Amino acid sequence: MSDEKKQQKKLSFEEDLKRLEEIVATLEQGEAPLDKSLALFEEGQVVLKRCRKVLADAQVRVEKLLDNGERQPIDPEQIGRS
Amino acid sequence: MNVADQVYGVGEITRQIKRTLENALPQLWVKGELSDVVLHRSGHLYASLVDPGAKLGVVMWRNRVQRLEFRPESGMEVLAFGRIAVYEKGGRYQLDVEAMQPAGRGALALELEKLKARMSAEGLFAPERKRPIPSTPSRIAVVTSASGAAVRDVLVTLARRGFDLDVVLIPVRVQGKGSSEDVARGIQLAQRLPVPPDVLIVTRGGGSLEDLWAFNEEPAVRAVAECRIPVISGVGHETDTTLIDLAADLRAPTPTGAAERATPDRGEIVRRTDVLGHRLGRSMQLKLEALDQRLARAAGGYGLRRIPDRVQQLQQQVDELALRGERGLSRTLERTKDRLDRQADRLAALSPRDVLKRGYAVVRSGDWVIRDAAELMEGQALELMLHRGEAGVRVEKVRPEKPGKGQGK
Repeated sequence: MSDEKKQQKKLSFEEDLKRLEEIVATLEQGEAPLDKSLALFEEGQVVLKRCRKVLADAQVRVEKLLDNGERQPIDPEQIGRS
Repeated sequence: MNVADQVYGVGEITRQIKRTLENALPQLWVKGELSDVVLHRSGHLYASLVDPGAKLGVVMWRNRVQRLEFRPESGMEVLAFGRIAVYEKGGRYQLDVEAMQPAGRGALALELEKLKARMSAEGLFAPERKRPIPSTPSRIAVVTSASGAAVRDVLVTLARRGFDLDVVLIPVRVQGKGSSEDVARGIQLAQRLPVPPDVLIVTRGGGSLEDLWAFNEEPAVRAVAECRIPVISGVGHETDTTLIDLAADLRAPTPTGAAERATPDRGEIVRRTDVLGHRLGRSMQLKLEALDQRLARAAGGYGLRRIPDRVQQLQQQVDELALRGERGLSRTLERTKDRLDRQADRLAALSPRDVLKRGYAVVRSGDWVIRDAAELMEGQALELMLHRGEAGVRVEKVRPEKPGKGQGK
């Protein structure tokens, strides 16, 4: 994934989480009419699912920069033991 | 004429002593313990420097005293820089001090102070240079030695906490001659990566002042100050502060600390998301329950024909959501669905009061109806709604239900 895309994904993740908080707060106030509540609930479901997917996919890749400029994947547990 | 025959005037010989001493001893450093410290009203400092066998008077003029970065006190080991001056009227020689440093860690500490003063004057540590650290970086470069515990601490911490993250280790030498240049080279390399990182971590493990020296020297410090990417430093232990720490946008106390400050805690975000999921389901459930009660009240009334239709629609929509298999919520959704399933019974005027009559109680905290012991805290105040009357109670012991299969991937 390109870095720009990834950054966007992260930004949208943060926005999603914020949105989810708003939705929950509104629903918890319990003042919205039923139609609105249901719509919010559905939106919340969709956003929540998206957030969980990002978190489940979220990986950390660790590489070492070699002298020739190439990168070599490394295992964080193994590095530095020499 | 024999030398012994020459007769000097007091002033004459004193001036000769003065010339001889002052010419023979240009500017120099003297190390010793301060004693008899007197800070005169005029602002000048008078004291002696002593060691076990000797004593040397010192004087420091006001404008120089004002530049001191510490408060001279008797008993303190210091390094004083100045020249020997002869005070003719008093018939004394003394050290005319230009600068003075605590000598606790010796010359290196002094050198550090000098470097610090110079780079500080240049503005390399100025607060307005500091840039904010992005809260969820996608790409982090780590400039450090590829061997030793520090690199592992940092990478393992990043791997544990990180979330959707690329980490690039840029190995450099962190100790010995030329290492400061090497650290600087690593920092510049990071900025030239095809896709520049969002954050740079510059780090090394603990060591003596000498071991950490590369992180005080100008090449590395300047590279950090001039780095276009925000830099988090984590050098040595909590108590070590190097000049790189002063130049960095954020100073972390240790390598692990630097990794922690560079990343949001993924576990924390997962928890936050789970809690939101739970609250989402719960809030909707409460909404439906309110509706439920309204329906129950309306059961005998006129709106009956329209409302069940509404409920049916609702049920269908909630069913659909449940079918999408949203795990964290499925339980809540099922409960919601169950309640909707029971709607018909409710409509048959099964009011909460009737349930209470059968010996049940409704437990509330404010407006919140408690269904799960896990929501409770010991000592929490609750209201009980009984068939007749209410009671305020306090939670003595919480025994939450053993969790089923936890939330997983």
